[in-house]
Amino acid sequence: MSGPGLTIPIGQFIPGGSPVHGLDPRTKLVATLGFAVALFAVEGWAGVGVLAAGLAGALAVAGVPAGYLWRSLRPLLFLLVLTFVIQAFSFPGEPVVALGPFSITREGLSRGGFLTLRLGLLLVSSATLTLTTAPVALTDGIEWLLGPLRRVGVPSHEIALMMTIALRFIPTLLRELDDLIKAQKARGADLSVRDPRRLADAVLPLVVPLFVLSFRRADDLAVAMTSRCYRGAVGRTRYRELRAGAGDVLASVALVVWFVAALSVGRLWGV
Amino acid sequence: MTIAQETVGAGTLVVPALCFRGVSFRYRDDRPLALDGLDFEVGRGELLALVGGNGSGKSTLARLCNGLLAPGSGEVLVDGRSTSDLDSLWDIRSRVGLLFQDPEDQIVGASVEDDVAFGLENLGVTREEMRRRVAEVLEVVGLTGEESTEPHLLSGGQKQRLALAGVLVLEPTLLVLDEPTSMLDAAGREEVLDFVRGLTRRGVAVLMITQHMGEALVADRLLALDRGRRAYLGVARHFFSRRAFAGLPLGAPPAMALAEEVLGEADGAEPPLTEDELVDALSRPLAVGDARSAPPATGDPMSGEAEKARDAGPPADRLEAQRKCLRPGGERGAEPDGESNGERGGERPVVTLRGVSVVYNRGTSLERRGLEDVDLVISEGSITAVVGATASGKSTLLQTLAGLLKPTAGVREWSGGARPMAGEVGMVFQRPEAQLFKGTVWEDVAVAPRLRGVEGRALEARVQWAMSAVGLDVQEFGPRAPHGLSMGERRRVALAGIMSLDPGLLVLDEPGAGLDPPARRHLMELLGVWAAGGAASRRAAARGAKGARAEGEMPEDGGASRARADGAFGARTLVLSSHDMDEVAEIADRVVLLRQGRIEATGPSAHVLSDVDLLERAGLRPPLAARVARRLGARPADAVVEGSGLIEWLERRAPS
Repeated sequence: MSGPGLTIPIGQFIPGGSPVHGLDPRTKLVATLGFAVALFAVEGWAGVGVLAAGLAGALAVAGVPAGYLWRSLRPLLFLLVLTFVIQAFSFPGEPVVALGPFSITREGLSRGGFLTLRLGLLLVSSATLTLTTAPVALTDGIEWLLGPLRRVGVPSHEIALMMTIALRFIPTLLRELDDLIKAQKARGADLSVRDPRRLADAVLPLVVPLFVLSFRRADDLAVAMTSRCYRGAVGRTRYRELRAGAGDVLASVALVVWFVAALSVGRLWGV
Repeated sequence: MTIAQETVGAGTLVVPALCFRGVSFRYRDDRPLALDGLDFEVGRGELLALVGGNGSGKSTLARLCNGLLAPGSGEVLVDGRSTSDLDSLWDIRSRVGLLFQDPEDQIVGASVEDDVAFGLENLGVTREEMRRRVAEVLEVVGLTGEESTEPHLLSGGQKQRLALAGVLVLEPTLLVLDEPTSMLDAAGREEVLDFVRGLTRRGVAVLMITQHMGEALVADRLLALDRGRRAYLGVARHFFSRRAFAGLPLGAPPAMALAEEVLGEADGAEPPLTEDELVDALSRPLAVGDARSAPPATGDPMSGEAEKARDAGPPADRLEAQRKCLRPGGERGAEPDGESNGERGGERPVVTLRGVSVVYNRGTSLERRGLEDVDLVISEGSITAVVGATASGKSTLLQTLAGLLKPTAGVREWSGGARPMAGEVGMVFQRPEAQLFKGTVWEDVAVAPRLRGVEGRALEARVQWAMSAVGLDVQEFGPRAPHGLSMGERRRVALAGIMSLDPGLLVLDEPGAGLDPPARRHLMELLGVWAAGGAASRRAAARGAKGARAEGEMPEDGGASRARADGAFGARTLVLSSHDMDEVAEIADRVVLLRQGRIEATGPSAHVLSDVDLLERAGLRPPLAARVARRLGARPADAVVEGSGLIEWLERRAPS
């Protein structure tokens, strides 16, 4: 399978040696969650500005190429534009432009812009997490964070294993999807949907083979896992060990200061 | 060694690693027995090859070895413990390592070391011991340094070694390998086989299922299955030298087949089975005499013409002449060809690359160069093979030629201009059977012509034509569901789906990958016939000779047929990639040898493929005949790539 590179852009982990890469995945997961909470807790543009500046700083330290970040977020751009448009049209207030029964209002523009900005920052922050954290480390972090919930019956090990397998097979399935797209195009298939009535024509040539492939793989994988003595979480040990270092303590302190700063700036100069 | 093994096999004192006692198995009550009363043992340190045709029960047998399936009657014992005993099931699973064809489906971990540790985690091994054992086993399989690599970034051979490491880390006493080399190139195959042989020396028992008779020969003993029954159990060599495989859907090992072609069928005497033995046999002076007095009648349907060809002209011409007669409908003979400089004179280029480079993930740490500064002309009517080691850029080059990948730099031109004419270029990807999605074979083959607006009787004619081009009967296969067919059949359906467009340039990425040798040979023959038939029918069409219906001629369907009758495209052109140089020698006129994204050599296939050193430097295994000739003192200029070339060279050499 020496196929050439993927044509489907995805936010793929870029290995690197920056301080951000070196942080414990738990620190980064909590930071990302904290960022999301702060993002919607702050008031006004100034507070969001502080958060955005911090995020830009983190990205700069991590050394993520801007072009790569842009390419991995581009597929989600549509979501942002849609949010903005809906907000702009649906908020009551002083009309700026009128289109028949609908009108864009001043308040709508402002609200839409603010929401879209926060949503965009949310996407960038999660991209920062996945671009700088190896998927394996991410899963380990999630399993650890879910660990306490095991007592109340949350199958944290199974969830983590499912995530690991999903992560393991996403590149494989993406490659298969990529090959399928090329193969069906080579047969003359038009895979872009313009007419909703022809949705099936565009989707079935990809979905059917992909399902067949995935089920076959799932079946073989189950056999392979059983053969390697897998029988659930009971009696299992773990190969990986998560270790938080001085950098993580430092980063945590910096994060708390940063979030508090953003919140207070929002309060003080909140518009 | 063999004798010692057999003593162990029949052993009274030593418990065999694996023992089948009267084992029968059926999947459902209304189905015939998948395995029928099997008795055999595998001793410690023994390598037992398991061979048999499709549906002979090989994979069922593998799944019985570690209790994934339980025998309907009889008993399977691993180290003396029954797999039917639920108390010892997990103990047995930790003792039996099972490895399947596709390593991709056996890798669980998201990184190399995580995957290797998976089995140890399941058994509750401590972290310190895991670290030690994982490091040890990675060293053994040669993946040290790749600990944190994500599995999808590994090569095929590396993936198979990783899957093997995941199994070996549990220190199994028995290793069951289900066609472990079928997804690998020649180099990867040898690597895995050597490794397995090394394991047996350390006392691991190995049961290896294989479709490659050359590999089966490496085993100590061999078990042949025929519809679930034991057809042979004994010394692996004897299975071949005594022709015990006659009547089974299995062939002779390649060296034995070549020996028979060159020396004639040996009666009584032990035939050469391996490359070394063949070289030995041919080194004896008598052998040359044999080759002369007993011209080969086997395996060469056109030996009469081949004979004639042999008597005329310099070697390159003769080879060319012979290749012509190996192709039914070989109208190519009429073409003017100036083979001496490697270009077919007077033929138009179908696609031209000048200084083409392809770069992936540009500007990131994942940046990878696919092709670098490639100049290439594919001439109309030629069959070009793109060869090279894994990751040398073969797929990239093919997709660039087919217009599915845009060059990062350089100029690409088809005969129609900067873009190929619609429907003129067809591409078949690796394992194309994966793209089938319709309910019936007929519907799937009809997809592409339908998308081009072909309907009604014209469509029927096209589907029928395409299916017969791949040797599938429309009445029989048309209404069947693709997913119920064998892999070889599904692949041919997928091929028909592209052939139904009758592209002037057909690009195929590893068309034979993963098929068993008979299915593979069949596919190559079909492709040869298709290419040659095109030359005839298209030329006839170009001359306006209506009604001249050669085999493989495209049905006329009025408006849907493209403007080809004016001779814009005469002959069908084929570009394919392959790992198997013997196969390439059979089918291709020209060879493009890639190495690290650059063209290392290009020229007529006889010239490139006979250069043993060149191929080996590029990480390829030269054709068997070329290797043998080389060891007997032939030079690349002698252009020996096939049995007939070898015979001819031996004859030429004889007088001196």
